[in-house]
Amino acid sequence: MKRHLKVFNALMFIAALSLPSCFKEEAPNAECDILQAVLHLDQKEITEYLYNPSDTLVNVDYSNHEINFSIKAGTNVQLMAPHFVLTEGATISPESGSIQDFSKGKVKYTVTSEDGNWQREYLVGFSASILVPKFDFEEFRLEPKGNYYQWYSQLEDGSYVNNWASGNQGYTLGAPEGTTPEKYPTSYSKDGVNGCCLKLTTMSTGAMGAMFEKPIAGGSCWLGEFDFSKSLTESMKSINFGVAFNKKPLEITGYYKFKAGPVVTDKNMKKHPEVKDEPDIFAVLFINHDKDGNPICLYSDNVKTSPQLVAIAQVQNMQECDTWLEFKAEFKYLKPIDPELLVKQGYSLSIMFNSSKEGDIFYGAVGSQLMVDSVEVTCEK
Amino acid sequence: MKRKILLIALTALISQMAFGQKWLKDFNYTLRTGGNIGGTAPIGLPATIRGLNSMKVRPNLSLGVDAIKPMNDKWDLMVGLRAENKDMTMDARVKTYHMQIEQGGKVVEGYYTGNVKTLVRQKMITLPVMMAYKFSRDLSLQFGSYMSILIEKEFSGYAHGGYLRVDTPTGARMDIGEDDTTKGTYDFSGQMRYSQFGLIAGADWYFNKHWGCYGNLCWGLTGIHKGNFKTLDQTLYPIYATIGFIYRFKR
Repeated sequence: MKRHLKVFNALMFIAALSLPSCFKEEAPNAECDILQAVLHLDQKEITEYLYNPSDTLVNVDYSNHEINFSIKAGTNVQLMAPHFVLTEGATISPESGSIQDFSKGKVKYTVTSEDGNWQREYLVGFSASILVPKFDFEEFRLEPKGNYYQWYSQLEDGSYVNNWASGNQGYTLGAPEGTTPEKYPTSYSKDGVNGCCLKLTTMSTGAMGAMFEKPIAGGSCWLGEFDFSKSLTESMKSINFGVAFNKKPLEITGYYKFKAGPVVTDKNMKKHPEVKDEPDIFAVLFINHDKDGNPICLYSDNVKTSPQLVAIAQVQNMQECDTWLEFKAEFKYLKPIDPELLVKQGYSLSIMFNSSKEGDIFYGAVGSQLMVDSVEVTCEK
Repeated sequence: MKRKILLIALTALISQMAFGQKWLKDFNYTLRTGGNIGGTAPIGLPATIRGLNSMKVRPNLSLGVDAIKPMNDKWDLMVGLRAENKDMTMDARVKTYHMQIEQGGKVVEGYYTGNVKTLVRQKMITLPVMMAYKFSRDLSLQFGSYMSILIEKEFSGYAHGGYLRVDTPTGARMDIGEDDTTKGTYDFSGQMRYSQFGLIAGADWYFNKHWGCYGNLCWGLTGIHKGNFKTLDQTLYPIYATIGFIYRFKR
């Protein structure tokens, strides 16, 4: 028998040798992403325009279609020439490194794949403005494909930016066919304290989600980004917390309503009838560059424990309620604020709302629903 | 469907001929044992399949009997019955490979770039029906068709070390990892057909009165998956060669 196998293996090897000639020539690339956006500035320009030298480089997530360079207030952006690192073989229009006027708003760039069959559009802009930490959740729009909503918050200069992230993009893989945007884990309700409010619901991801061992999706919304590319391989790292902030936060307040889902299940869909699901609301302030000057953010697995943390406000004793209950949490400081670092936007703020406290490890009750409205972070003057 | 009709017609023809002659007297029988090597493959490798990381030969045995009826000096009719397995393991590298997964009514479609490991197991009963041309008493060439009924089947594996672009090559990108919790495992065994049909060509060569060796090639004309299986863009056909030994009862 063994000798049989040896003969066959030899024949297989010979066959395999001839296989490369069977492989067709590699087709040109179909993907057309911007991977990085870079500003080529001299030392003088870096000090004049930017708070951090590392701000010359923006790493672009595959899901992003808006790219933002962070600059100092008053910088002239009429003649900026960003360069772009693209998928191999792809082309970009306007050209990478061409001078564009960004003073009238974002500039649209179109990337075409090497094979010419696919295109992606990106909006590139420069922003000096910081967000206003007052959130009414009135500004939300459908994402480009129309599957779910995205929330925007207002900046000091009056413009809106999509800096609220959610797990909605991950949910598109598990959502039953024909799910409307209103039925996504992160959605809105018209029954807000004033106008609309956030409606966060823990949902089942169906057979598809179970196949990927991610049977539930918590309804969540946080200041930061969702990195869809890591949702299967490192789901904790797909939740990126933090947006640049230049004030010292003291307290977070707002209103909520909560109803727990009927049965808590874990990542193997085992039921835990003895436990009741709980929501989570917290806010953090952290240092957003490491000691080498590289930008960092916090993740689901270290947002409450990282050494980069400066302050944390944790809402306690949340309970089920069907009328609006006020919540309040003080920022507890672990380190003193450095006023120079504050001006340089060296701190990032994040706020998280979650209908299932441990939804990120797929522990929670399908049907748990948290509504949130009129949130404000009061800061030191 | 057409093929099924052809097979039934062929069987009817043989039966008709059988009743018309004292057929049992002239029959010869052979026993054969061999090994199958091959795989399930698309016809014409598409450019999206970039390479083969590994391919393992699994012990694929074939045991069979044949009934041989001489028609005239030069031609024999051979009808056989084989119990065999046709397994295959391979790890291929693909680029922008269009695929579709369906789970509980939900369809996720996209383009996958990375590695795919596939395990195919097929245990079957095969019925070859061939015409053999005798060059001499000890050497014949055969050509015909076969039908296989699968009694055990598996088509499973996992995508690993790659990424999926959802819907289009510009869609959301999801990494697929290497370890147990992060690779994309699949099992499409339930989507495999219960029967296979194809062409068979071979040769029998005897080196003495009773013993000989044989080789044949079975080329599947039907894919291993059901018609409504849309996960893979290409149809996979079973293509296996068999070599082994034969024993004949009379020369």
